[in-house]
Amino acid sequence: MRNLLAANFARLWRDKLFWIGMAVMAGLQAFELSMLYVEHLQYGVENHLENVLYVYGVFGPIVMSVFLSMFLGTEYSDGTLRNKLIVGQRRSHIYLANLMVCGAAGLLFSLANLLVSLALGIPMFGLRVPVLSVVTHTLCTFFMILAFAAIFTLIGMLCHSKAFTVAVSILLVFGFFMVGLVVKQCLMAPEMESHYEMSVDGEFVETDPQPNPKYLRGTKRKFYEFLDQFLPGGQILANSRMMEESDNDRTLVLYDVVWVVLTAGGGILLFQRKDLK
Amino acid sequence: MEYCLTTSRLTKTYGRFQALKDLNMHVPKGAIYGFVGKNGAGKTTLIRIICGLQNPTGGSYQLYGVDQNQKEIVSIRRRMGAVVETPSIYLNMTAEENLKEQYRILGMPDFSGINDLLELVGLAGTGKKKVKNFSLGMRQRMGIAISLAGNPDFLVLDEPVNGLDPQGIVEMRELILKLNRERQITVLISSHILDELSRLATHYGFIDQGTLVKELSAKELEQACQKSVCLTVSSAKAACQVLDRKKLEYQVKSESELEIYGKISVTDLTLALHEAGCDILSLREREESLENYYINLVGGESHA
Repeated sequence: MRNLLAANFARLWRDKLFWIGMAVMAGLQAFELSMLYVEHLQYGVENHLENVLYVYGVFGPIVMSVFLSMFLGTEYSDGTLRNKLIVGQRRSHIYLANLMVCGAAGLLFSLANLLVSLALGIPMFGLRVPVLSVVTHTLCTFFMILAFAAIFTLIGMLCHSKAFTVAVSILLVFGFFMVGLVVKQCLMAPEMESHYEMSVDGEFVETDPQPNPKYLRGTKRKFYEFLDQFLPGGQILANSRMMEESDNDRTLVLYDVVWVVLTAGGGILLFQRKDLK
Repeated sequence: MEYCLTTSRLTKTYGRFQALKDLNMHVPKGAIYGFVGKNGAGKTTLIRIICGLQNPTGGSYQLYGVDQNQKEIVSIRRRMGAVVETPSIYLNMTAEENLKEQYRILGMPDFSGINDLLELVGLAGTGKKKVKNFSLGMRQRMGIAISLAGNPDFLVLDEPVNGLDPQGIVEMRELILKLNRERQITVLISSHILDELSRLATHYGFIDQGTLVKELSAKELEQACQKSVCLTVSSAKAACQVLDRKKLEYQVKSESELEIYGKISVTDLTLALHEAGCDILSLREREESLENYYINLVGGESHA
């Protein structure tokens, strides 16, 4: 497997698309920080670095979906996967080596974004939160990136068509994101809600709080909470701090590990049985 | 005889379609084995299976005597190289970069053999030219270079001259012969271009509808294809004495039938047999090309 890893990484380093992905990840963050700084200078808006420090949790899976599909799809489109099998490399090793290089590529994309945040963001806005908290949350987000890498590896290793792999991977990221938003909105519905009614004097009066029928209760709520934490879409929202602070880092990491193990295990099993052309 | 590859009742089905049916095959060490069959006969399916790209539904195969299910098959595959259908090469890389990548996969200690390999396949001067800009012939040779990276002693080539121009076909033929003669590499070539195969192959296997219908050496094939005279006589024994005297190559088919190979003078033969007291009951001239042989073998009616 060492040989396969050496070959995969050598191909990664000389892949133009990989460096374009790195530039996009770094550039997006530099642009976002610049905009926030201009906003701060012009309108005096108080912006904080920690609000945008983890946005690679959103950009990362999108850039990864494109790059990893192309990277893995090339093995099928150019037929080079056959070269590995013909000379006796085991299918499980080929799958794991690809998973590792995909995970590494995802982490490097995230690091490119994070390093720009730290290099430009700290001088611009300073850092209000403790360094330990940043490190802990960064690690948590990295696990989510690895879970996405495992999902894209599964798709890339089982689909013959590069175009199909790219399309499915991109749609999956946005699909996860949309499902995550819907689940989050359902969970955020208040338990009690009040209405405003117009009184006889023509004034608006707030009614007594009534139970909200949209509020999820019991098993249904637990199930939605599980989906929110387990599905990568919900994790994007939690890890990027887009909607709320997450205090479930450990649970999220556990679910990420579950994703990696399930997709890698299932992927290897299916890849072993796959008839290649 | 020592074999590089043997298959035993190899079967492969895709859904309800049976691509290979109880296929038995023997590729002798040192041979150039021409694997002949029409499109869809099962040539590529067999090659995919022996290259480990697909698993057989039934039966088994052995590479250098090692069964497909034995653990050692992984290391035995290191002795193999193959170009299956299209050459497996990274189009965005140069010839040298492609070979470096394959060297890494093989775990070769250094890249010192790359220049020699490029020289061997005639791609030494390609420099920084990307493989996507190569001609079809160059890509085929690049594919062979990749398959030779691990110094294999068994090379599998699936339709290597498909789509090549006459010059490319000649170059490919010379390369295959060179590899076989100078490096003692056993070559399995699948093709339906019989004329081209007949210039290379030392052994043949004819496949039809997933079954190997005939396996024979080039010498046997030559004998089967060469011009001959089929003779029915009153006594084959007497005829043999005459033919031995005349030093003619022949084969006794039955007590009254003989097949004489090569060009003969019918008048001389008739007189000699008459003197020996042997009557000629019938005489028929026969000439068969490899194409005719193949079509007769796999059923002419389907090729009409």
